[in-house]
Amino acid sequence: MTISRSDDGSPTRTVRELGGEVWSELERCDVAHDVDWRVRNAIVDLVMGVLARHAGKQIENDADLPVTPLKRDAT
Amino acid sequence: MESLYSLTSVTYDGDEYVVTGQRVPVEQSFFGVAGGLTSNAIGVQLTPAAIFGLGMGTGGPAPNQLLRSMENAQVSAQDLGEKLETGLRVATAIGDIVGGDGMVGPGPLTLGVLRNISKGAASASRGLPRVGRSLSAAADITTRSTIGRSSYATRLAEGLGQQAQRDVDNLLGALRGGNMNPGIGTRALSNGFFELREANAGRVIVKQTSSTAFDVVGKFQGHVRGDAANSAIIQRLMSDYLAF
Repeated sequence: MTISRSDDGSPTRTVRELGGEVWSELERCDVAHDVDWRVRNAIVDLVMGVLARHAGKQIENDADLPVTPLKRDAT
Repeated sequence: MESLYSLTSVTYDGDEYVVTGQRVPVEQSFFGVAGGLTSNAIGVQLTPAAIFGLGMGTGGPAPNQLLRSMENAQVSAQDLGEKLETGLRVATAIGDIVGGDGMVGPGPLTLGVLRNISKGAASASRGLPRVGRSLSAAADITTRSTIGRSSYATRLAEGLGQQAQRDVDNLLGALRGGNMNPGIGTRALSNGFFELREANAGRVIVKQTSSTAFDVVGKFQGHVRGDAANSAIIQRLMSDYLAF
């Protein structure tokens, strides 16, 4: 059984797991709620497409301009 | 539950306003603002343009007075986040329109610019390092089962073990409560389908049908070999759903 989640310490994530995380963040995002839910879903699919393009590569934050991680969902 | 921030001071050093304060230890909710609200203390530096935007965005008193009125006040994270976010969005829009962020006061504003601010606010949000996030944004979620339409989905649902059934109940309860990432994390299956997953192999496939509604397409017990082995089940469930 695959037990993986962003906070489980596992070193890998699948594209669809990340897609699910992006989607749940979009659903919680006030600004994104100005956008039709179908567009939000399309954004998720697009993000997954980009991620899939880079599958197998290691993602690093930018040393000079690091992106601040979103706070984890507390629910 | 909301977090509260106690603003302790607002100072202006001739160039920037600095808002300081402390987070009252309640919990969760986090509303970031350019410059970063940390979870333990606020140290937001706002340009005069942002401060001006703050006053504009909230429709409140003059920006300086607005912040002063918040001094020593206990404001909810949501209030603070929304006020600052709105202000920053407008300020960014102003910056876009007048060509810089060094503006102080409403000098360059004209009626035309004001009209453009509202148009520009949405696109300006693209430049925000963070956006407001609300845990209550997904409230009142409804689900409708479509499992009965498919004999395959029905068989899978009937074959659930006790633990997996508990998983499924938990997952759907969490979804209806507004948690889109319950259990061990949601997988996006494309085209509005999502797989909710729990640790004891309970899996639920849902299809979003509106901003607050989901069809429950299927529920099944995940394969012991992991998610990859579930793909045939998932494909069949989605295919049966789309066939109706």
